[in-house]
Amino acid sequence: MTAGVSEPVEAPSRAMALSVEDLVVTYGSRRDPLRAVDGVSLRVARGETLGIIGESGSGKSTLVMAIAGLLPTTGGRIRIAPRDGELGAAAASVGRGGQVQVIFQDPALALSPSLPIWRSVAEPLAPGNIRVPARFRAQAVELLGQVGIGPELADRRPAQLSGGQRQRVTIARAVAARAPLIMCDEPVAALDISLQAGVLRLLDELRHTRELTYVFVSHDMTSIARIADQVGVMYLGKLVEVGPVRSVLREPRHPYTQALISAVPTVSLRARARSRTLLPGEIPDARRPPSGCRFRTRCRFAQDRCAVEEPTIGTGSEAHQVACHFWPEIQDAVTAT
Amino acid sequence: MGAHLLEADRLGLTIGGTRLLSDVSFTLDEGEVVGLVGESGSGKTLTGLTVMGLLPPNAEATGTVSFQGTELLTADAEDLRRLRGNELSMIFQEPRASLHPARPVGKQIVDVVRAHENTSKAAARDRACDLLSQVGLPNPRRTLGAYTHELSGGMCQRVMIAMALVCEPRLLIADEPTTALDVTIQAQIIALLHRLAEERGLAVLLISHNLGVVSDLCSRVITMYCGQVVAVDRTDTLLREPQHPYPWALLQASSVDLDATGEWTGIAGAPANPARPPAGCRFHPRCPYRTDACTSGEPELVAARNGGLTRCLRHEELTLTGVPA
Repeated sequence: MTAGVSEPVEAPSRAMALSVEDLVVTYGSRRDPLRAVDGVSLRVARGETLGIIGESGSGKSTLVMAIAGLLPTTGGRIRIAPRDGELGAAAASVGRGGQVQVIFQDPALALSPSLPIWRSVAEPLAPGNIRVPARFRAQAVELLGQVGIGPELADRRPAQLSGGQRQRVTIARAVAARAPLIMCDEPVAALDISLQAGVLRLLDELRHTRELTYVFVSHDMTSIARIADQVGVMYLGKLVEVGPVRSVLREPRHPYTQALISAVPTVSLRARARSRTLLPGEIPDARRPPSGCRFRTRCRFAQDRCAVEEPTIGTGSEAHQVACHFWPEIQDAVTAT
Repeated sequence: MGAHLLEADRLGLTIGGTRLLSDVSFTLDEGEVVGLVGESGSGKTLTGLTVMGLLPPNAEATGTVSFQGTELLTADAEDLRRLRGNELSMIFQEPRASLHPARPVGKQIVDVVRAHENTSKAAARDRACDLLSQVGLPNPRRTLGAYTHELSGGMCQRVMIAMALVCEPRLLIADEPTTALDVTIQAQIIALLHRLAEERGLAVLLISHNLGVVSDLCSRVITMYCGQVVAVDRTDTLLREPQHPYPWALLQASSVDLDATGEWTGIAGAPANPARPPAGCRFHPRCPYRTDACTSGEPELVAARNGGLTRCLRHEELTLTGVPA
């Protein structure tokens, strides 16, 4: 019932859709680089959704943009599996659209304001064309129908649609490219709460009907709890915890994850009574990250060892992994109080 | 009258001929922290701006809004100016957009102090410094000289709150004060508002679309839909047993249940347009509990079974379930 700490390891034969090894993405000059993603490794099984959570500046958007080929990488390896194949090197960024698509946070910015929406959706169907030939219209209208946008809306411009409808259009466009892997960067954050559930449900349906794999970046635990199978937690360019979503959200091991989850205001009578642990301060400057464990400057459990030795995320076979020297003791302390 | 700090009664608002608020009635008592929730376009922010008297010139308001016995809708500009800042303050969603980008934040606070009080620059600067430390900014002396681009979103919001507190107002209207912030910083700001309300007896009207934030901080919740107040509940009543299908649906949409088997629903359809509201109950096109009666009779805001108010024709027969205890 409950996702226990010693959950059985998943069958290793599970086909992988995405593998990222030791990925490094830097911004800025070579002399004063900002390592926005600093040695992140992760794997996503085919048909699964990996949620990524973390504060602004943790590198979660940079990570998915790099996977999508929209940012150059400084180090590491990205491998993507085609629909029915094994993991292989990701294509050069220009050609990666057939492997990975992205759904962005703000659909108003992600769609061309001057194109009728069917043309935006049809663009991946006819790559290389400056203007999509009209013969792709029927296919685009069908895709729009699959995301709940009726044919009568196909000739509208994005400004004539609501935010929820616009996001559905960008989803149709992402699906049109037939890429097996989709990066979702806060896809419902700009939508009203009543519309969020509908878009999430659509994403979940498409995942099954079109056999898609998602990496889903969000700061909203409600969406993550609803759509993700696995969840990774990022802090200052590092992945600090990863595991099955129920296990991580219920029994977070890293003190950062604990604070992050505790900070989320939830609508429950229990949560109102609970006193929460406030995380002091803000995320440090990524140009000058703290030595050792990057979280130690805000961690109430930090000890001398944390400043000198950087904890690594386990490479073992266990499903729920954490990069913290002291997590078993911390978890005992937290459950004891 | 005069029993409530703030009382809005059948407030209606038209801007440039477009009807945006139709029937907004609520009260707020001294020292009370009350949430105002609803989707985009429901009229939450306009309600806040009306109380502040910050409407465009082509706005026409009807009904009454009284604050400590002063009728705000008919008050002259001079009276309003005296109330704003001294008694009423407002903070906004985008703190950075509300601050001057090319003037140190300390100077901006000093401006506010000196606009309301006859004090020397040095004394005003000390006040500013004191306020910045009260809102939990580390190193307030240095922050006085900082520009907004040197501060994070959370720090800018603390500066805004400090500025709003200059004249020790009785009522703070906080319009989505944490929406643009990270959850960890949001928790810090919520804790700050909570502390200020408790220590200073400050009444807060917290405008938010996030029921989590509201239920965390507020003792009562006012729910708006399509330019009307549709429900007023004590927070624990709302969480246990909502008395109107709209707040019920919002609650369902915002609760996380890790054990749920994937059956989660939003609210069907899109929010109604207050300029062209549906006939009958304005929520009926999206309401799973509607009957024929809901499509014609326009419900009034009436006392609900478990206290509070509801604008639902079927409130006596419906029993809606809240969130799990």
